[in-house]
Amino acid sequence: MLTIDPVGLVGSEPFGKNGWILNGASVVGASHYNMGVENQDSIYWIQSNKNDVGILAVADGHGSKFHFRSNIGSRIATKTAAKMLYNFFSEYQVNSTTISSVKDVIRYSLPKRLVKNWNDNVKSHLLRYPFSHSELTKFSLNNNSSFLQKLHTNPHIAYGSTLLTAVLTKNYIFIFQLGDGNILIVDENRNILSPFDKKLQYDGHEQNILPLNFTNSLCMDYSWLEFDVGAYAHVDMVPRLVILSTDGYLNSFKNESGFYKLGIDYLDILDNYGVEYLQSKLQNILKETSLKGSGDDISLGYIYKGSH
Amino acid sequence: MTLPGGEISKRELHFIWIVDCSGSMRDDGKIQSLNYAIREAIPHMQRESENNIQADLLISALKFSTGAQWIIPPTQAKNFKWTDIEAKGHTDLGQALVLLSEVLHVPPMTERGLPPVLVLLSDGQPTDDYEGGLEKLLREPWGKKAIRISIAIGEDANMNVLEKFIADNERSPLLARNPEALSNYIRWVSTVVQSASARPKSQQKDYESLGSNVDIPQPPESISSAADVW
Repeated sequence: MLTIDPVGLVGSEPFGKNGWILNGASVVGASHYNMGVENQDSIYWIQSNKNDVGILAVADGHGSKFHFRSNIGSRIATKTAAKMLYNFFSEYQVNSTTISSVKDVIRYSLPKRLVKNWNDNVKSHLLRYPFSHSELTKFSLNNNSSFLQKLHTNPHIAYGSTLLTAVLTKNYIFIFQLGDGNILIVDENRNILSPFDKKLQYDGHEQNILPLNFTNSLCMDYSWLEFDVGAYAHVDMVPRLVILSTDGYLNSFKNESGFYKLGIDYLDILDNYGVEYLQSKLQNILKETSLKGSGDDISLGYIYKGSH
Repeated sequence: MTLPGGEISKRELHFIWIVDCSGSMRDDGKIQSLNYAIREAIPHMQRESENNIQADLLISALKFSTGAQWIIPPTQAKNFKWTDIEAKGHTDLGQALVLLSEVLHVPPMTERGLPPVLVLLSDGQPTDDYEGGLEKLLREPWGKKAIRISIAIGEDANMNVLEKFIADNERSPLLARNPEALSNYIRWVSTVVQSASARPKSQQKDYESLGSNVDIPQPPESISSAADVW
């Protein structure tokens, strides 16, 4: 049976033989709240006991003047990814024997299909709700002619969003990431893995810096080529907790090690106090973090395996 | 409940005044107007920074005449006080830009962060190799990514130089022809630009070359009248 849990509510039922629990929350950032701007992030999950599959997706709509429908773009992204990946991994039971035959499909074809489905769903939304006069007027006032030309050529830029997805199956965890945001995996020995974090490289000529908030996006041409994809077999690494978060969380910490500490801290909260306790506190934790830190929207989704 | 994770902090937003105090700034009370305008803008700047809950504003100032020197180190907005400067000497803008480039290096700047705001105020023609200084500044990654604003004090300012400093086809130097206009521009940059710079929006990476992800609103209308003195 396919169950779709509403976001942020207490009490996702455990699924799969290991009793996995999916949950999370998304809050509007302190600065967006003060400006009356709605949350540009989205979170969505699907789980199935029958197929032993859980899918968790978070997305961060860009929110800049070019991406004026990015809150919708991020919602489309999480739902599209969760449903598409659920269908795929319910149909193909990936195990150590079959992994080699679907490796390239997972690495290349799934990101390509994710992007195609997102674009198809954005196109449908745009057909139902064409850009209004006021949206276009505002866009023209805020942008120069080169951006107007770009919007004309590719109206989907209005919906630009990142996408992070984790798929938990009986034998594997698969993770997919396009753009900003972070994935942390904590194993049974409390080791923390941050699969796609890129250290900025010094190329010998010019220091590389990263002004906040320039990111890869679903609305970019050939964005599927920019996906990071990872696969981890349970026999190699037994995960206890998988965390997906939008970049408003990382940007709230003084340094990256402060962010990585989240992995163990959340695992301890879940082990010692339980899922219901965390869910009752999570929105406030994220709101307070945003207020004291980045001011940005923050979403946190997690897949947790209880200790008992 | 203690928040999960390590130390939480806001991102630093560096706001740097780069002030011309060459001899010509003595003419027609320009330096007095500049000192007054910055001092008058400070409370507004402090109030605005309190509203910018996502950034920790650090203000500093650099002056140039014959040579260049830092006059105020990075200071929290609530503690910032302007020290009046006197005008004398040449217009060694190049040296000021070299000094600036040294602090926009990583470190002391961090690799991830908010682009700094650089505000250049000048009334004249550089007397040293400003192009070399500008090249050095723009070679620094944070120099290139900085929000660069320039304000010309009077018609004699070299607009071409101030345009090169901005290096953005979408924006031009602001021309203050009288003390009131200078005050308005300084107030605008202290508040509106500060606020916009503290809130960069997410933007797709392949648009980076098309411009900053900081939406800088339009400056106030230029005030021009028969009473123009500069």
